[in-house]
Amino acid sequence: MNQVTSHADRSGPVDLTCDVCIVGSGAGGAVAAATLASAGLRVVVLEAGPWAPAPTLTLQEERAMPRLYQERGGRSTADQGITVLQGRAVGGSTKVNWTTCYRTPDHVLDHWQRVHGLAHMRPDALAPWFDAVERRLGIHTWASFPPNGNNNVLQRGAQALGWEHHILRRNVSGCINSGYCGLGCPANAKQAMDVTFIQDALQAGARVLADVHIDHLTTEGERVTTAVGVSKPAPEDPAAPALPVTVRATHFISAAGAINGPALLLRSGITAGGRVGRRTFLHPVIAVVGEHAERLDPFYGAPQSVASHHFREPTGDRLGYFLEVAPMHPMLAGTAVAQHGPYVAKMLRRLPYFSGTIALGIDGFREDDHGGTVTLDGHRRPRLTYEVTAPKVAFMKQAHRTLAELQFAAGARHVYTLHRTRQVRLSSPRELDQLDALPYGTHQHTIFTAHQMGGCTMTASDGDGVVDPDHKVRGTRNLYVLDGSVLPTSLGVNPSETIYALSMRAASALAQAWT
Amino acid sequence: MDRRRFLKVSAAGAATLAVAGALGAWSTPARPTHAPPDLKALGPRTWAIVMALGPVFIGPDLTDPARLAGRVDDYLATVHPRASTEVQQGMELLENRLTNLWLVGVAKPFSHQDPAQQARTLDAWRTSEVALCATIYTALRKLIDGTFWGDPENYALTGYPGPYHLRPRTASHP
Ligand SMILES: Cc1cc2nc3c(=O)[nH]c(=O)nc-3n(C[C@H](O)[C@H](O)[C@H](O)COP(=O)(O)OP(=O)(O)OC[C@H]3O[C@@H](n4cnc5c(N)ncnc54)[C@H](O)[C@@H]3O)c2cc1C
Ligand code: SF4
Repeated sequence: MNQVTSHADRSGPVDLTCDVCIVGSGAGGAVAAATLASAGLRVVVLEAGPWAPAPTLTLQEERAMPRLYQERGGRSTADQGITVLQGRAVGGSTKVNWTTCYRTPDHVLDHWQRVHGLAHMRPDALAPWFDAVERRLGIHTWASFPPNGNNNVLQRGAQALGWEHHILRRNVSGCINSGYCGLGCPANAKQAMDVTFIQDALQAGARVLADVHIDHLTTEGERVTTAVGVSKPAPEDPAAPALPVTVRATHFISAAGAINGPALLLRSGITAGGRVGRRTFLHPVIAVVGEHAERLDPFYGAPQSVASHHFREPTGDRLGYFLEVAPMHPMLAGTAVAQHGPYVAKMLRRLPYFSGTIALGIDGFREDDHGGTVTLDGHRRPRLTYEVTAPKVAFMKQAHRTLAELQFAAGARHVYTLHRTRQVRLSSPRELDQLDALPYGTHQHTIFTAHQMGGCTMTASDGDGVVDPDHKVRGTRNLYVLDGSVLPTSLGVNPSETIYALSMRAASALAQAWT
Repeated sequence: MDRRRFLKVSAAGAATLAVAGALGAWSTPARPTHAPPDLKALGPRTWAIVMALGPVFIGPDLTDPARLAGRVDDYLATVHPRASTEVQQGMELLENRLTNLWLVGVAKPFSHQDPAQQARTLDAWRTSEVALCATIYTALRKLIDGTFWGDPENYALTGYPGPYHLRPRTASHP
């Protein structure tokens, strides 16, 4: 059968013509490719990252992070204040994501209708698309194993404090509870895009090219004519020379994700009145570590199986937030502690006894929250800036206390924050007040993001946003964006299922129009 | 410190760092460390700086600084050349005599300082309220700590048994 091709399979320049050219093979691109190819359209998918099937995965962070993440695992905001975890592989970020699935909450859809004029974003209108992706990806409440030690801390703590919490839904089938979702699933149990919708697309005749980075789209008037890029060998295997890639198509879809998608448009001279790259949201994450008496092995077991939305509501001066946990393998843990030397070494000696709980800030809902901005640096690479404004600082401050309280309620002996300039270790809930005196915000402690959204935001009115409600880029005739960059705000839940469903809805409409 | 003051201090610090960068030549060659002849991304100078930084960033657990520096070199050879240049510029600033004079009052390149002074210097970078210092400290920390703790040879220091197939069998991971 039709298969994904890689750089090693190519001997000369790539020059293709098709009906639909899709840049990016992640949550948005893979679903679009399967939907459009199944409708009989000739589809070409171009993916910068590698084709990485299960037998090629090493489960070692030192290999997987550079291979499967953006910027060899080193992406961050320009000031290094926020570490950006984002995938780069056939399957996009779903190749390395932690499989947590939620439908878009009704109150978020309601906000989009009221504030962004997106009348079609109604729960009943989207329900059939959620149903369809849930069926295809086997999304279900995951009760195959009890929560691992790390998730159990969240469950126990929330239970003891009377906070809302629940077991998550995951897109897995036959999960063996290994804990390596973030390094690619060794068991093919994660229903990531490379083993689901990309396979459907291939079966329907789509061509999927890995190792192809698209530099820009060429335009003639309001029409995009060509995707121009380069096929490159993996950096650790630079034997073969790079090859030029040109793909001509009737329709183009940018599915390169937040940050890279806006950058692709900017490199192509498409700015939508200066709005491309603006309103980039991150669900900025802060973490607190608890040291427990019993072994928790936070590196094994499904990375996320419990969440709490108890603190979802914002207040006048701070963002709302939700609680989950992060898996802790040595490299991720070692770099999350914003310190160095024996302090870090001493902490990491207790790694099997640690639990890493996280709080994710729900950004983009306040009128004064414009999110981050993507521009291009002097080398045409994306450059992300994101200001941690006062309401975000207030969230970070309160969330530290929330997580520390939760850890103690779950039985932690010590609680560590990840501050840079101070070494903070609490040994009893009576010490929680110490947290009030600490500084919060950029460079004060570790902040990361695994959920990048926006940058090509969808709005109803012409003079606003980047794409219209049909996902078409304003000011172009044949360029669409189907990925997380269209989201007008963040979501307050993990974003993958929203992106799958919106992409399927949009691609189905486009398939009807184009066939 | 309030935000206004932070920005002011940052601006003054950034100016000093810019001068230090421009006067890069005013720094003694890094302490010679017999850089391997086949470096891929680091130069002999930045190799020497990494050799000096490693023991301070990691502490006594680092028994083979050359292995760490070699792995940093391997990694940097695979990132965008601009990203590699930027992080090496950060190393140069940390090594620079003028920066050290301004930050810790010692006009000595980092790699020429004794271990106690090196520890104080890196701590000054860690606790600095100058945004650019925080940026450089964080970039170098993530590079060096990430390289060290990601090295399978060092898993044992953390009690991590290694990838899933090496796990000790327990009730939750049969
Ligand atoms: C570690 C981690 C854990 C996560 N956990 C969860 C979770 O548990 N639940 C959840 O819902 N979400 C999770 N997410 C987020 C979720 O996976 C993403 O939000 C989602 O995959 C985004 O979809 P997308 O289509 O916008 O972009 P992506 O899925 O990132 O796909 C974009 C693709 O486009 C490619 N590309 C970019 N630029 C170019 C170019 N110029 N040329 C060619 N190709 C290009 C990229 O390499 C990438 O493969 C996680 C993410 C990470 C990184
Ligand atoms: S926990 Fe392991 S087996 Fe289950 S989906 Fe994640 S990587 Fe795959």
